[in-house]
Amino acid sequence: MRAFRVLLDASRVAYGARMSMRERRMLAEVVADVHALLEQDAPDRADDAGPAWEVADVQVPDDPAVARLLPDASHGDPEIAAEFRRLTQEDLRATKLAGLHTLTSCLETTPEGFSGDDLVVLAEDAPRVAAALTDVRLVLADRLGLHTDDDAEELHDELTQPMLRRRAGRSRRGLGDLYEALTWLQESLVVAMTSALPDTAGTP
Amino acid sequence: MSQVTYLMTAPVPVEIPVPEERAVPAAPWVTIVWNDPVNLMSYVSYVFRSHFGYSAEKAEHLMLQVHHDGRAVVSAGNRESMEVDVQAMHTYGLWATLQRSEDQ
Repeated sequence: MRAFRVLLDASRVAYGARMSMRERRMLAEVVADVHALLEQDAPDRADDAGPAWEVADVQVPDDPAVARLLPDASHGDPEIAAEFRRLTQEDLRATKLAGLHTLTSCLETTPEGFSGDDLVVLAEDAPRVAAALTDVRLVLADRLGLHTDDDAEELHDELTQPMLRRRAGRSRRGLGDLYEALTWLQESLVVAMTSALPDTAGTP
Repeated sequence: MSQVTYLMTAPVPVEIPVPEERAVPAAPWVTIVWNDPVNLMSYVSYVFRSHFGYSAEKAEHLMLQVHHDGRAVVSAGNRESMEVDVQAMHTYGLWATLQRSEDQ
């Protein structure tokens, strides 16, 4: 796997990261798991249940990872949080599911005119793909128990120091390696995307 | 004070202090972004630049405030526009909340 870089063809801007088919399939499986987790949590609503604003109450998701993807919109005012959730939660869920789907498409198909050796993200898809990578990392971070910046640093030490690495369980090593690889991949994508942002120096 | 004394003196012009003019009226609501261990510093800056149209310097300043202080006020305005900003931040995977600006 190699970092994202800017790719140009005659008409389009895209970002490409060298990634083997095997790596892409593995990542697509993880993305599918996150998609399923978020989708399963959706409330069962009968088709005739009426518009979202008539739904009496929308619960905070039980799974803490899903609750982080669909977080409270208020710190300390349950009424504001509940109202916001009632009005927006299912839209937010749908947007995130669509973003995960876009990431899956990028992993499974290469747009015409680009090398099949690359994971190619077209510029117009890049913000959704970066957000989807964040969502996958948020779920992995929850499963790895990363709640603070210190937790994330400890995980990094655990994975990179041989003594600590041996002590970590197999599943924590696997999940942790995946998390760090996605962190690195997202960082390179964001750096490439930032280089394409208009220079807004002088604006507020 | 009796009820009628004010009638016994002629009115005199009184200078009423004019409050110092504010460049921007105080916005009633704000959006706050909270620190988390997952979101990358580069990504948080990118989101502030692309969603709010902030300069690289302002985006970086706010990102560092989130990182060091645990939170930062990233926008201010009426409740409806803060709801739009909060939902946008959640779409990007950042955790944001809205509140009345005097509560912050």
